[in-house]
Amino acid sequence: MRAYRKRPWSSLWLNVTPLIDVIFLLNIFFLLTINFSDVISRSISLPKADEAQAADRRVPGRIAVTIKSADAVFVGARSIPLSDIEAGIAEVLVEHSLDPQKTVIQVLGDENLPYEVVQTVLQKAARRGISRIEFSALIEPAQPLSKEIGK
Amino acid sequence: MTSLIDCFFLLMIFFLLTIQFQAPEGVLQNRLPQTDAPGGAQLQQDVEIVKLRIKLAITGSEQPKIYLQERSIASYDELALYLGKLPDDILLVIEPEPKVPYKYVIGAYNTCLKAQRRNIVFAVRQG
Repeated sequence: MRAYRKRPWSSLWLNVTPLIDVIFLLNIFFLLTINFSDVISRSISLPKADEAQAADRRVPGRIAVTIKSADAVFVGARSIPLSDIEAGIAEVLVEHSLDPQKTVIQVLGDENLPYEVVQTVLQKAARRGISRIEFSALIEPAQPLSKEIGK
Repeated sequence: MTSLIDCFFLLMIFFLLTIQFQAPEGVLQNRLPQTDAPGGAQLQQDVEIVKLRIKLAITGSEQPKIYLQERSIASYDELALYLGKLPDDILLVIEPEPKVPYKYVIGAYNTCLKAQRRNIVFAVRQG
């Protein structure tokens, strides 16, 4: 009878513990950094401006107006027709007891939006007594004015 | 344990495929000019007004042209150059044509800020 010989590789075993550790760490990183912002969920491509600065979070009242197109305007999370934007802003001011003088309208507009849509929002905000405006932008060099200049 | 690891692997693959390395967001601050509402910001009357007009080229090239007063400007750099020569107390009024893409309006405003201009307003239609 042949004696059983233990094969040398049978004792080899892949230690997966450090691998799992790394995967756990990666998962924790992704879970903590995932961003479900309105901008991403509404597929808005913000314009680029390298002079843009981080928004001052100490401002007591900030109304975010997201404009994807003339037919897709949001005040906060609420979808509002462009024609009713003034009423929408007024409603938020009353709802949160905001002082128009201290309130900031944060415009998150798509970069290819015709300016007339943004102008309508500015006009309506001004009519509600709001004068402080913030244009959201990606902190990157602005797109050149023409293709020739960009070369 | 194996199923847990499988689950984490799937999560990791999901995150790796969906991650977007987007540039950080910031804001460009501004104040609106006078309004008919009480408390609206009043346009300063004691400063010279230089109108910065942005309009689309009529040629249909979809590329806008910038006019500083009547002077045609070819690039943001040129605009910054001219703005740098203006006196400090001048009020710039950005008055874009309705169809100008928003990104060019922001581009022009960004250039004004880069040229250290601080008196900038956006024209708002009356009514």
